[in-house]
Amino acid sequence: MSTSPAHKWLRGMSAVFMKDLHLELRNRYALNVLLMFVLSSSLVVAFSVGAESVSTRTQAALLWIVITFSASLGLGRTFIAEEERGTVLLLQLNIPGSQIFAGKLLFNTALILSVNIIVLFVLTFLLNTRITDWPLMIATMLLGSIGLAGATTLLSAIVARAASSSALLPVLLLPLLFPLLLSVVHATQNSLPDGLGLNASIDHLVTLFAFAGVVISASVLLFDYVWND
Amino acid sequence: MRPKTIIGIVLLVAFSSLLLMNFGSQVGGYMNFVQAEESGSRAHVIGDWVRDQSFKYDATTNIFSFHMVDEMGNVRQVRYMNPKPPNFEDAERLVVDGYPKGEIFIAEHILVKCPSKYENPDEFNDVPDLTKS
Repeated sequence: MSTSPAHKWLRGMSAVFMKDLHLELRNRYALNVLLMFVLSSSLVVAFSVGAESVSTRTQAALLWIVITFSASLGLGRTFIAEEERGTVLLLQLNIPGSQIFAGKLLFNTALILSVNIIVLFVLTFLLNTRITDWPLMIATMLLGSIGLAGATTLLSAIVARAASSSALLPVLLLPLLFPLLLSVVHATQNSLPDGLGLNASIDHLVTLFAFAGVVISASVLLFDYVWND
Repeated sequence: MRPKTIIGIVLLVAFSSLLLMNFGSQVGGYMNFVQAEESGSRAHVIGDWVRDQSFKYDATTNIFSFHMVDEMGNVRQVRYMNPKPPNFEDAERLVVDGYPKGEIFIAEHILVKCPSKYENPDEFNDVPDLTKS
């Protein structure tokens, strides 16, 4: 039972995930950076908007601007930190590439999802709006987070060996995220007051699902070439 | 290694074709109000402004609403979350781009087809017809 390949694969993946989770909970680097970024940028948004009532389209756009930049700031850490600590060789020797990728992807998804939930509550409070279609909002957040984490994980593995890696990531990430952002902003707008609701947004959710699928299957194909010299 | 590559490529093709097909349907084709309500998705509707029914612009909510009749004769209220487009009254034809929501059509963009200012059709009547002679 414990020697079946699927079981072994899952054990390797969860080992990488738990290692990253323990490290993160110990020094809270990414979490602190993300929280500071989210709070300060949300406050800037709130102050600049003031008492003005902004259209739901703008609210959705502001929400995803904050989320996109916090993702490009925090999620790139996963592979860059391995490079900085010099633990890349250790990982390469111990665990096959696909399990490392899956573990890192899972960790990044969990991280960005928790950040997204915080951003959502902070911004809905500060912009004085409310969510009318919860199922749509939850589906959008979930699929959007998976797509965002999928795109960032592979790119951060590519970028990790470059000299100015943390500056390079946002530049490479934004063009890739374009289709995701287009759909995610529309879907978020539809879940706010006067929005069109879940039934009119199925197209956007399918786009988000397909984007996540494309990014993750491309990453699985390409990761071995990025990871092994 | 080999089966993993094949499965990966198959998945990649499947997901990207889903993405492309879906992106195409979001652009929205030309249809009338009834077709748009049946499909529930984004649509372009061609029609005329119904001048004798109510229209108004609410400055506090920034909503311009009017009634439009499409080419099949269906009349719907159209809501546009912006001020009234300039030279809306001169329009020969309107194209609204948006989503149906119940009996109301929510327009994201309105294309106003106006008669050209730069042509005077009378001038062309004096030109001798060179094809006959």
